[in-house]
Order: sequence, then structure tokens, then C-alpha cells
Amino acid sequence: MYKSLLQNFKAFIKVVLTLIESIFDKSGTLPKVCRDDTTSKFSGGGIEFVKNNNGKSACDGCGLCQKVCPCADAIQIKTLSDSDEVTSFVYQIDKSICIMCGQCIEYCPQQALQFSEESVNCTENKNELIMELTKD
Amino acid sequence: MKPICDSDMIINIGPQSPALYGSMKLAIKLNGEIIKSVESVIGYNHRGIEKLAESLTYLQYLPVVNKIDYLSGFMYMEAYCSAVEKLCDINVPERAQYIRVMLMELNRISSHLFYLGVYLSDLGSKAQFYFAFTLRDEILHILQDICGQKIMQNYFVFGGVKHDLDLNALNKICDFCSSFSQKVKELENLIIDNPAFKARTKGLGIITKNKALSYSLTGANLRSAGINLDIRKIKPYLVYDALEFQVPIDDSGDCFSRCLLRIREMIESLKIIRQCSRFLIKSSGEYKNNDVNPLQIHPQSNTVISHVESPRGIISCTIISDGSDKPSRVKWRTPSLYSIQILPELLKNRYYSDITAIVGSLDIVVSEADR
Amino acid sequence: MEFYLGKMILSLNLQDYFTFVVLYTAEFLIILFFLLISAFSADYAEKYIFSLLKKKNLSARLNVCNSLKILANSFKLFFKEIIVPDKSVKIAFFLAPAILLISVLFIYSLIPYNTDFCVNKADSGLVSLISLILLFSFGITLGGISSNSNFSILGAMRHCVQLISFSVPMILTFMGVAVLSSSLSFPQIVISQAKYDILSWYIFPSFLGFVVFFIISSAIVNRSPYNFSNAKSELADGYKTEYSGVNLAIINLSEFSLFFIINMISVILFFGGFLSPFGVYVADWFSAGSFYYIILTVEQMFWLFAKTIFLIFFTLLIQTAFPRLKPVNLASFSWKYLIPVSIINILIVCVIKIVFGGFYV
Repeated sequence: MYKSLLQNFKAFIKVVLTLIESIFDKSGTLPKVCRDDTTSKFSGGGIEFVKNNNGKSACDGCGLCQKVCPCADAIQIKTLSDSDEVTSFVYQIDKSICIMCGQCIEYCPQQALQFSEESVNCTENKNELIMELTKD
Repeated sequence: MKPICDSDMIINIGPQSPALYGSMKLAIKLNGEIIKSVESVIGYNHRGIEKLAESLTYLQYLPVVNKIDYLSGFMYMEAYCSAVEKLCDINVPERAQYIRVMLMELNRISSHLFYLGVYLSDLGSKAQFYFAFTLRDEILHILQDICGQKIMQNYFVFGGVKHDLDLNALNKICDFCSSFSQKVKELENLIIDNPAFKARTKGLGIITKNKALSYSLTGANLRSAGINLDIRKIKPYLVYDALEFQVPIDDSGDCFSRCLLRIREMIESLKIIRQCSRFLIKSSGEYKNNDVNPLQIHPQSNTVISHVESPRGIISCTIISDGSDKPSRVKWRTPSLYSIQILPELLKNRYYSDITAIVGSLDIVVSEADR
Repeated sequence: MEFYLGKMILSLNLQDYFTFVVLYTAEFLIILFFLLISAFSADYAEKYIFSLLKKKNLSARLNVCNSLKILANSFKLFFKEIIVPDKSVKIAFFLAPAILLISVLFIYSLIPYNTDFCVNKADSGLVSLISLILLFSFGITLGGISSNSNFSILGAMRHCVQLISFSVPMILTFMGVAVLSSSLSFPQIVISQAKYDILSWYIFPSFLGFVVFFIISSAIVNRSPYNFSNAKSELADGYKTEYSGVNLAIINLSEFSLFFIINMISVILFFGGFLSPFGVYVADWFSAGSFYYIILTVEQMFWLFAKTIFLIFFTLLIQTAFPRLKPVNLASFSWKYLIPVSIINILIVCVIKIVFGGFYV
């Protein structure tokens, strides 16, 4: 009856020593700072348009991003003119529906979208969450 | 003399509980501290994922797939991608296959660490919780550098992976391997040699061979009952037939052996990661099949099944296509649903304090049981 | 210290009866201050151990603002609404936190902090201590049963199992110490450990008794590994489930204070109380006078609190590594192993006292 007590006592001491050793063990591959500054180039906080030198974006309203997006009604393109060609339109991404999967960024033929670093997720007005681009 | 209480007491371990299983309700009938009957209610987490597939194209459904289970996103993506690749006869280059295997094994280690931390924290000790989660944090930082996100990464694509791995990431993985093999031994000392843990879990919740087969359990729950069933050895997919690793089995079917088996599986996964990283440093090939245009996938009408071994069991994905660009039916077989079904039989005539020990050892994730 | 306190109050020139009342009110306030400080420091020590285990940026986690959050958390409970369940027995529901706080305050008054300052210099301090610890458990059971909800009743019943398994080894351990010091009062126990500095501390003859008391001390206070009456993942908070507002603040306060005070009692019984292990004090440099007296009082209190905090850290470190046991396990362990070991401890103590008679008083 007391043999098992001795075994348990030895195991108890072993556990406590392992715990103390693990507290003072500084090895590991974690970054030293609590909040890491590395933002990977493959994801980010929000979506924005890539602006070229003139300040304009390369989007031409082909609508491929809308076909690739898994959420319904996240991307909306409304044409402003009456003709068949899409030359003037309003492009909207609703960030309250978007799940940030990145498919629109990858499959855009003109590569007009990219991840942005900041994002605003909590607003009082819903219109602030809609990213808009108007092209005439 | 009449006893003070005649009827049994009904207690709800409700959908919101301080224990971290998920949204599942257990309605327990107690007599003193002995359980008379248990009824489990699921469905609080149902999101209609199988129905969604009928209205989205094959490419649109891809980001939805890795949100079925938040702990093993890579396994679900692999099941879906290989099913679609079987449908359309797409070839995956060898470098992409090795990258996929390495990331899936990293995912398996991080899921097992989550299980260990949560199981021991439910049983009442905090040191192993912080230890396991600090280790898991290292893995998640590596995955963030490679794929861009820590969980629910959207990294696999029909025919390969999205972008290539560079030497920086491979160096980090090698550093991680060398420091992890020593820490697993410390974790094993803290858990397996712990006399309080042994007193709490040994001889409890025994699943025999026949019972395990009749409830169609898979994964570590089945292997702890003595049956050797691992999809990576029986029907190898990707490059598993070229890698050397073992599958641990145990004979007793209790909670302690399930916990022990998962620690041993982590050590075997480490061997696989080492072999894959050695191959990837030397080889130089394509990471994606460039002939595939994922925007135009119109397969013929066919039925395809694919199997993957996840940390909790076997995942199967069945796709029925009818010639258009949207699938007609996608069916998922998730392993947690079968672990929930065995609970009423395991918990009968036990003490009330055995509930956390038994339920926690089966590794249930409710969001994949409800889909 | 009472001498100086009495002198200050006498100089106010009040009537006889009032000086008495003012003196004891002042002592009560000092003890209340000790209680609040000790609850705060026990909570802080727990958070410090957790931050060590997380191994991240220590200095960012435990600065002044974060540690004052502990006080703010208990202070905000004073402003919350008190919800009384409908089926409960209302008198007992409100009486239970009061019983807890009163018993802890009584224990604080029994302890000698100094050679002079001990509020209750009773000749039978140990016996009162036993009855006060049992009163604490009675308060917990009363609170749990009077709430009349499923989880509370389960928690209270589990605490009764704890009660029957820790009371007998605790009394046997106290008997060993009483044999060594031939008295039951706390100031006498401490002074009789002062003969040969560190060698006459009671941990050496009754080492087994210390081991038993160390195991039992976490069972008295409902801490892991004997945590099953307020286990968060099995029962939602146990006997504390239905309490909210001021009642919950008082229960938490008394629980942390009892954890601190049980460690302090184990220091007094086994480690020499407020005596310094070297035998000399810093105050010996100064000649006898009021300056010497003030430094001596501060230094003796410092030794007492330092030893207690060291023991608390050791206890907390062990508590984080072990999952909690079942009530059945605790009862069988206590009756099969701990009681024989404590009886053997009494025999060893008696033999040592007869052989080394001059060592111990």
C-alpha cells in the first residue's frame, strides 16, 4: 500500500522540477515583442485600390471579381450610362459582408486591388463601411 | 421513513458553458452524484454549408470550405481540392504535393496541442494550458508568414498552392523542429507522469473494439481500442507512400490511452515534417499547375469521393456534378458527429465528476458536427 | 505596539470606558487593513505565477495599472444589483457571507504579529482556531444549500465531503505542535521556538506534520487540486453561483484572505513566526529606546510576511501543475494515508521531546 505512495511521491517531484525548469527556459522561436509588427504581404486589414502615378486606378469594370466572390452582394457594380459598354460605373465593396478571403485580389486581370494595412471595423454609420470608386 | 428527495435532478450543461467544447447541450439526470441518463442536443451551430454549395461555383465555394472546422482548415481544403482534381483530371506537381503534406502535418500538431491544453484546463490545472498554447503560438506565427493568416488560411488551389515557399520560411520550420522535439518531452513529463492526471483518467470511459466499430469511430478514438486503421497507410494520397512514419496503437480503450496516443502522433508528424523540408530545400519545381484555369471548370456528370485523415478522424467529401459550373450536391462526412453519439452509453452509471474527463478526451469540435 | 497605541490614546484624556472602546476600534481597523492587504497580495501572487508561465513580456503585464485592476474589480461589485433567487431561504442566504467574514476576522485577531501586538492573547488559541475553520466550512455549506439551485446544492455537498476528510488530520497535526510547546496559545508557541535560532523551529522534529498540513491547506480553502466544490468547468461556480453584488465581493474576499491566513498559521506553527532565522535583528545596532522599538516591530512583521509570501509562491506553483481530484479520491486518500501518517508524527514528536528535553521548552 505504501509502495504506490512512494512511486506517486517520486512522480510528484519530477513534475514540479519539470515545471520550474520550463519557467526558466528561454528557447523557442516566438518573436520577442508581445504584439508582432510583421504584417505579411498576403493578408491585411482591409481592401483598397492600387493607385498608379496619376492617382487613378486600373479597374475597368469587367466584373470578374464579382463572379469569384463567395459572398452574395459584397461587390456591386452599378452602371451610370445607358449604353452596353461599361465605361462609367460606381464600384462598391461592402466591408460588413466581406470575409477577406482574397479571391478578388488574386483573379483580377488588371491587378487593381490589394490588401490595405488599416481597417475600420466599428463605426456608427453604415455608409463608412462601404468602399467606393466612381469612374466616369 | 420517506427519503428526502424522490425524483431525479435534471442539470443542463448548457449551450453556453465555462468548459470549452462548443455550443452543445447535455441534459443529465442525476441521482445524488450518479448519472442515470444523458441526452445530447446539437444543432446550435448549423450554418447550412452543404446547402450553400448548390448555389456557388466550384471556385466560389473554396473559401467556405476551410471554415467548417476552425482547427484543421488545411485538411478540409485538401479533401475538397483533391475531389475536384479527380473530377477534372488535374495533375498536381510534386513540389506542391510536398508543400501540402508539410502544412497538413503542421496543422495536425497545432490541433493536438489545442486539444491537450483545453483538456487539462477543463480538468483544473493551468500550467499545461499555457505551455501547450505557447507552443501552438510558434506554429501559428510560422503559418502567418507563409500563408498570411493564422487560422482559416485560404492557401490551396486546384492544381497546387497559391504562392511558393522561400528559404526564409524553410529555415524557420527547421528551427522550430529542433526546438519542438525537446519541448514535447517536457510536455510528456508534465502530463503522462502526473499522478493526479492518472488517478483522474485511468480505467475510465473504456471503448471496446466491437463498440467502436459499431459506432463507426475513426482516428485516435479507434486506434486506442486496438484497431489499426489509418487512411494514410491504407489508401495513401499525395506523397504519403514515399514517407517513413509509424502509426501508434494502444490496447486499452480508456481516456488515458487516447491522450497518450495523440502525444505520440505529434512526434510522428514531426518526422514527416523533417523529411518534407529536406526535400523542399533541394528541389525546385512548379508550385502550381499552370494549365488549369479555375474560372472555367465544367466537369461532366460524375460522382467522386475523397478521404483525408484529420486529427479527429476520417473526413470524406462526396461531390455529385451534373455538367454545369455549380455542383449538384456536396456531402461531408465529419468525424465529430460519431464521437457525440457514443456519449450516452459511456456516461451511464458514472459519477458526475467524470463528465469532463470523458467528454474532453474524445476531442469533439461541435462546429464540424453541425456543419 | 499596544503600549505606544495605549499611550497615544491616554494622552487624549477621555473617560475610562471610551479609551477602552477607542483602543479596540483602532486595533480592529489595523486588522481589517491587514485583511485587505493580504487578499490583494494573494490575488497578485496568483497572477504573477500565471504571467511567468506565459513567458511573454513580463514588465508590460504587471505594471501599476494592471495590479490596481484587482482592487477595482472587487470595488465595482459594490455598485451592482443584488439578485435574490425566488426559491431561496432569504435569512440564511444573507447570513452565509457574514459568517464567512466574521470567522476570518476572528482568525486574524488570534495571530501574533509582533512580540507585543496580539489582539487576542487567549490561552487556548489553537482550539479556537479549529472551531473557526470549521465555522468557515459551515458558512459555505449554508450558503450553498440556502440558494436552492442545482449547482449550488451539488457544490455544498461536495464541500461536506471535503470537511470530513480534512478535519481529523488537521487536529492531529495541531496536537503534535502542542506537545512540543506544552501550551496552546500562539504567542507562547512562537516564543518557545526562539531558543536556538533556526535549529529549534518546529519543522525539524515534526516534518511529517508539516507535510500533512501542507496537503490539507489547499483542501480547507477550496483551491486546486481539491477544487471540486467551485469548479468552473463542471459546476458553474459551485456554491457561489447565485450570489451577486456585495455578497459575492465578501465571499471572494474571505476566500482569498483565508488562503493567506492558513499559510501564515503554517509559518507560525512550523517556521518560527516572526523570529528571524539568524537570531539577530537590524535593530540591535541601535540602543534601547523608542527608535529601537519601532525598527524591531517593523522588522518582525517583515519576517512574518516574507516567510508567508515565500510559502504562498511555492503552494501556488504546485497548484497550477496538477488537475483536480474527485471527492472520492480525497476522502479515501485522507482516511487511508494521512491519518496514520499524522499519528506516527505524534509518536515521533513525543520520542524526540523525551530524548532532547533541553532543546525544546
